[in-house]
Amino acid sequence: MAGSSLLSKSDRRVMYGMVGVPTLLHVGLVWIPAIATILLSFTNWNGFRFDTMKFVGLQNYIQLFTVFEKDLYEALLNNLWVLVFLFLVATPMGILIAYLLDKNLRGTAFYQSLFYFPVVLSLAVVGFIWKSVIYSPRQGVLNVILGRTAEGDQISWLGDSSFLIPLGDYGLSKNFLALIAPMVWRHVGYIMVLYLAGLKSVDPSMKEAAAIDGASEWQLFRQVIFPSLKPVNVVIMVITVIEALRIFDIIDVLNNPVGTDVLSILVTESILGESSNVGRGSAYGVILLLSCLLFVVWYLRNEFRGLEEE
Amino acid sequence: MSTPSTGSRGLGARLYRGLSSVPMWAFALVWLLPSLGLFVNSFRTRDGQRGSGFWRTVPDQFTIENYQTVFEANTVNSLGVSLLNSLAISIPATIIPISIAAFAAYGFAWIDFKGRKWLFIITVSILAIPLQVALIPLLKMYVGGAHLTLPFIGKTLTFIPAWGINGTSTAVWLTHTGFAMPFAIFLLHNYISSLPKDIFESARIDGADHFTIFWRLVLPLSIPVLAAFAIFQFLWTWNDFLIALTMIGSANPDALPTTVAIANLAGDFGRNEHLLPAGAFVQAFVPLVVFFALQRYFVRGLLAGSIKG
Repeated sequence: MAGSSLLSKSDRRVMYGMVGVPTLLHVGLVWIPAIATILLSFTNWNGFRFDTMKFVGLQNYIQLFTVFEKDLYEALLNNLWVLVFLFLVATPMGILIAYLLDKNLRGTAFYQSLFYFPVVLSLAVVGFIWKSVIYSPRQGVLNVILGRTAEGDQISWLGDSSFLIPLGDYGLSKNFLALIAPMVWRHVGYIMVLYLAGLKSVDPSMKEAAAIDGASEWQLFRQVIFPSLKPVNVVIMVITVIEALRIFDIIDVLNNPVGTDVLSILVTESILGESSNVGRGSAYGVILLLSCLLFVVWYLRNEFRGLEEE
Repeated sequence: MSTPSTGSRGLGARLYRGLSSVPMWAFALVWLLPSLGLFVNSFRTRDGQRGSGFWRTVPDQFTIENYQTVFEANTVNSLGVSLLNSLAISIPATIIPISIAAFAAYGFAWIDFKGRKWLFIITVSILAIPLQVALIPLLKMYVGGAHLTLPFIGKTLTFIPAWGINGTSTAVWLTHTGFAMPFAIFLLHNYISSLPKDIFESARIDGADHFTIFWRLVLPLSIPVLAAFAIFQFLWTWNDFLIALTMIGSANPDALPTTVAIANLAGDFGRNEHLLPAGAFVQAFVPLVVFFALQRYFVRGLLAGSIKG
């Protein structure tokens, strides 16, 4: 209340600039295009001339849930798998490595660089690395170890779209898991660096106090260190969710094998592909948006709780 | 002793014991394998790479020709050019959002204005708007601007003029800027709002206006967190594939950044696939240097201040 009346004229101008410029930017570059996508999803636009655009109501959505039902559910589920693996496999591994490295293991700097290296590679490049070094049918590491390099006996890691974990008509296909592995490989380094940064800032006296109380290593981590790193955990959450939902590059550069569709592939394909259909692509986009909204709701709830306390 | 969830705790503890007993070097070796393979292959002839795994390299397969070829102008996309293109995207896409977001974070944290809470929430919510959702309207907007024809009157309002910047690096970094805003503001706000209140109050009493406080007090204190975000954003934009592909794509092959250029190497029916490892290392070189040069800041900055809270 009192605050705003205290603002001088120059202060007010500064404030408009400080807050106004970024607001203009994200309204213009994010909100308006996103809303335009929602509107486009109700049209049959082919993306070239505006006068061919026609309002078609829910037709695109009806098609998604009938004709393209298989693509849609497969993609949704695959996005979910990525999220699950990044959270349940990559994140704990990254945290564990960070924790071990933080205890001044010999050669910390070396290990740190080693685990961090995949993070500086672009996911597009990561895709090629795994394809040629790990999954190559003839000289890839996996087939050589398994002794399956002979012609006809080779395992096609990226080509086998049968389900490893079937869930009704859908599931986790083997080749999609083969694509998740490099994502995990890269994400572990990300998490490790973030966590290492956090661990360095934990007050050592807290650890000592817990050790004197006879806490085990696990209890120390679970009850002292982990809760005190809440800000890092939030950053990690955010980054993991963003990475999982925007996953695209690695699948696209490997030519999107059967069974590896994700939402962003469907969006991009239907608007950039040969038979461009902006309407349907936008409808896919809206579905992607809706699935992300779950996380907004979660975030808003936390944020409001925080603001109320202030 | 009185933890309610003994089940998950038991599992977690077992998992922890199991995993931490694996020697670090074994872990590291597995982790190193793909990168090592890539590195070795980048120095092998085409036939060598195709014929056998990287661990079976023989001396006469050694060559540095791959590195020479990727820089030659007559290959599909010379990496020399695309490295410059990548810089032309990543540098503005890092500096511009940070500068704007630093101001905004201060505004949201310390200037009391009406609707602050809501505007902040709306801003940060963009974190959850996936890029793909906005790409096509953005692309059309870069080509033709944004107009609204009013019904009945038939008058057209122009919100954004037709810039015609599709196919240029400007279109790419502008897009990055818009989408970087929420995370930058979020991260910087975390930090700036945790600065001790007293310094602002005493500065206000001394008659400093908000701009002076920001410029003289907040900015110098925020260097570590700014650097941390800069590293993040630089890596993100340097490694971006999707935006560059959409905004530049085939429209202007001369403006393609390294990620797309390398992906194009792989296309072409695999004729140039043996150049990929060398290309990948060239591509990774810049972010590696950036990371290790600024690592110090990264560690301190990312979480500075927010830990105690």
